[in-house]
Amino acid sequence: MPPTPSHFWPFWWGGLAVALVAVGYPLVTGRLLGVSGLYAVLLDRLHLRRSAPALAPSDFERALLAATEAEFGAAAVAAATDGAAPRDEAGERAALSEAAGGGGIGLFLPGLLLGGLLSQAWQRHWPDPSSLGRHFDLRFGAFGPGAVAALFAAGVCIGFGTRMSGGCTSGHGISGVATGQPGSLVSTATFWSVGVGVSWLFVLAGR
Amino acid sequence: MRRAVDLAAGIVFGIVLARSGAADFDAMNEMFLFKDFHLFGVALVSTGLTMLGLFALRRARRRALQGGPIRFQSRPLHRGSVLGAAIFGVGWGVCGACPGTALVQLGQGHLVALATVAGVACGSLLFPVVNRRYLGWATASCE
Repeated sequence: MPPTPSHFWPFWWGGLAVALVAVGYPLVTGRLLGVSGLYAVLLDRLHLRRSAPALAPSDFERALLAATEAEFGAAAVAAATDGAAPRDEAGERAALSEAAGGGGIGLFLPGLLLGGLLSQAWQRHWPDPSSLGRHFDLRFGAFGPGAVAALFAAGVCIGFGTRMSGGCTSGHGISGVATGQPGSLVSTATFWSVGVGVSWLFVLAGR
Repeated sequence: MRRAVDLAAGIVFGIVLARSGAADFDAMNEMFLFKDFHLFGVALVSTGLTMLGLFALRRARRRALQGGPIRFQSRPLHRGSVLGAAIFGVGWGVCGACPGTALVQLGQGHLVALATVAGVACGSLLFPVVNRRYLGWATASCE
């Protein structure tokens, strides 16, 4: 089968655009780009996932001071707390919530969906809703329960595997590899290789 | 304001993924089969430029425009790095999507991608349960 005619941006422009997002996002928000963990954040905010209870900053500090006193004595605690500025507990809670994925981070995923919608609306061309393309039709045949089940199972593998490895194509493949993280280099090489292998298995199976 | 920024960033990234071909099943499949090197080119250019950009960002400033430090998350090698990536690779090879591009596909009107997104959500919910009950692995993600 010949390659799909390309109606996409040239590769160099697509790569530049991805890089602009990957660098611009941390510049603005302070967080590196990474999508897979956002599913957990969004599910947490929709109360579909049980998260660990948040510890109040004052409780955390009390526990830390108690441990410090046990290890180094009361004088060390007095030296650490003498002249300390009044606590902004509400501000600290907000900062901890933001660091744990609060704020607006849960809106990134709906944004992706909207981005796809806007991109297609701009082109004024809507695809067959029951297909992902001609290779998809070749692989799964006519749309039916088999195709849906295969996509769902693939999605479970994607969600499970990315949580296990701690990232996906954006978190590991872009941000992690770009910053030379060992876990990302290994994970990226692994999921690329397995993706290639699985695709060739389908070819060998005549799909 | 933070909500607007994250929503806008998601929209922009969604458009970029759609227009660069990263959300296209056929293009992804052709990349995996080495029939078309377009997405390889996108990946190489994006990774290279991101490397330069993040290096410059790290040297240029410590604080984000929204306030707070710019956190360069470390991603060490851990027990789930290879197996987790392999499981993800199986899913990626079958459906041509990752957690982000599955949502872009759905937004583009490929309603069948709803099955993929539902699966990703279920997998994301399932792993912490399995990890807490059976594995007990420290996977460098907060669970």
